[in-house]
Amino acid sequence: MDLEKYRKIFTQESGKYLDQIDQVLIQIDNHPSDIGLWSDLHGKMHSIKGMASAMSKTNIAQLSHAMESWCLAFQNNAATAGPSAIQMMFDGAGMLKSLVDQIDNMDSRELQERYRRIMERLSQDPSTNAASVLQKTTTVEPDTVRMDPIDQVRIPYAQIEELLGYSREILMLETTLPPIPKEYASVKGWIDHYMSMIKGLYFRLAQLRLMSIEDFVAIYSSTIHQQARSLGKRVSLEVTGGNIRADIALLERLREPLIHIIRNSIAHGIEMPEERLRLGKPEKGRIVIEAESDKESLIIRVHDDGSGIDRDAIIQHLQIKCRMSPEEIVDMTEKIFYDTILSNEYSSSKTVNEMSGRGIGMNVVAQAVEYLSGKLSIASVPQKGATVTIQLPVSLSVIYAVVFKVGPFLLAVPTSALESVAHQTEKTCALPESCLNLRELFCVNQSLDEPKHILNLRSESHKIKTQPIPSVLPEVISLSLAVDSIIGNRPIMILHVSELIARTRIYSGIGIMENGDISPLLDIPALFETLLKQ
Amino acid sequence: MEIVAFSIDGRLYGLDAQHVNRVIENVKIFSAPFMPKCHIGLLFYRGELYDVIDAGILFNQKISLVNSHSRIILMKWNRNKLAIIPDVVVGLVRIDDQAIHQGASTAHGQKIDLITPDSLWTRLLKLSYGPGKIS
Repeated sequence: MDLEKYRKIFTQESGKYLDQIDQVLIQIDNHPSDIGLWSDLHGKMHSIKGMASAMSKTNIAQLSHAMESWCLAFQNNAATAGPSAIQMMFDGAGMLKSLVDQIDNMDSRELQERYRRIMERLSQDPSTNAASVLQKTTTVEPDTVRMDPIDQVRIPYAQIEELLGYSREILMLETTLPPIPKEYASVKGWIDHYMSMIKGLYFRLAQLRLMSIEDFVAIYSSTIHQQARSLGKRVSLEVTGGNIRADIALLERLREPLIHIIRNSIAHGIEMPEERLRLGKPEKGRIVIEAESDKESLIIRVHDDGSGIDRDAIIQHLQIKCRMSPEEIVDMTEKIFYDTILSNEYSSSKTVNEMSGRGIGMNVVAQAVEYLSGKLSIASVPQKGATVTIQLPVSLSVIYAVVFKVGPFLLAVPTSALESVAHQTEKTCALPESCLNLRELFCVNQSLDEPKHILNLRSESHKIKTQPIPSVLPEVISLSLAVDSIIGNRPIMILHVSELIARTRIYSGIGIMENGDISPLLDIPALFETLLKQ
Repeated sequence: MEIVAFSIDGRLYGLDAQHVNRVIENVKIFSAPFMPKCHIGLLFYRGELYDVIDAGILFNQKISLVNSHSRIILMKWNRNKLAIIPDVVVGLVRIDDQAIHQGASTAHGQKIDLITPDSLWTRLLKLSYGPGKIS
């Protein structure tokens, strides 16, 4: 087991909760009798305790447990929190921070003494002594104020963009470098080293544009809980794979569609608490946001344990609007069946307005995902819940791609999509049948020599995703691309395609190479599907 | 208001200066297949990607006058970004807001057709993209 990884997650998560605890305590300081705030604080303490117990961090677990008991007393109105009690909680939170920083170790005598004093004070019953005893205990020598080092700062996203722009311009200067005579070889060596450092800086700056899925979800988690409460429902929102990071620009555009999907889950999927109990489900509905990534895409699944999507409404729509027979509907794959609710016709039809299940606005969500060159699919099991999956091309992350030229065009395919590379020799001048001559496809001057290189793609990289698959083609065929020249296997930073470029439907992203050259990244399955439609 | 004036085939056009981010030149442009003729490629400037449009072709379907020294107008509005290359970038022209309904003109009285980024965008969206007939 990778303990180091879990330790890191524990530190990050606890740190996040402790920051939130500070904020809640500040609010409590202004509104000490606000039960909701104490309840909020209790929840956060409980989370820290749970994580600490799981990691066998007993000091943290015991302290958070003691603080939790006090929260409970104030939350239940069993005691009134006076200024000293609140200060006690601040001290406890400070102690927790120190312990998290030290990974629960109390090597120093000072820390041990501080811990002992706090635990002693917390061991007193807040219901009887909250105000008075604590007033008395303040005579105990106050804790040494420990100044945590400032290790994080917030900077506007635009500033990162600006820094990227400046480093980009420095990189561009390389192209204007005048020829250096041989006798100045050492100067040239110095310049080369300098430029490679700048390139490294640029790529590291690009990484600053990434945000974790967990932080992204945290931005609107309170809105989601509020909405659930307003509908009289109880919902827990969980995130798995939250440490996966994605480009902030991509996430910004994903925000609305994702909120829409979750809102649908709450409004139409998760049942009312009493109904859930009747069905033998936990009173609280569960929504899980699951993030996953591979070299080429970011996958986000939103799963709920609600009633699932109303199949009858879809069947009704298919029969009335699409004039499909019951037999044709039965023959549909589950994916195509549920994808029905993504069509414009479905969302605007009368059937949908009268149905209790999902569908309203899902076409808008699908369009938004498509705009990001992504794909959306739906699965549902009656009474078990629904899952909406969004698959997006990784944007603004650095991937390796094979960059090649076709006539005037500089293009790329992800290295992971490549099986092998072949070089055309005179003996094998005729291109194989399964080879797509990109020069011909892109109408590049045919009077030039034949393409010199063939990129053989992995079969899984061009699986046809259209359902049903045209009968003239097998699901997977061998495909290769004939290109003029290969620049090489290069790290490229992927930006998402502009709206105009997206209209071609053959690019999954725009690659920026270290030298500043731009190479659109071919989406092989999409290219193939586009050609099939021609 | 201030407008950035430019000419195409001897005719003057103007864009509200608030949508113009910068005018640049000598930037490498990379073309992409399956784009309309007026889309001459992409450029990456200060961390942002712009579609580069030959304004001459977009407006008049004439032969392109774009060369490596052409000046490029970078526009940013709403969430869109576009770089357009006219024949000549004339410069900033100040127009009296009160008289705008009478039409914009230069100090020498030459008429300027005001265009909006959205109208350019709409024009671009009407073109064909992808394999097949490229306009």
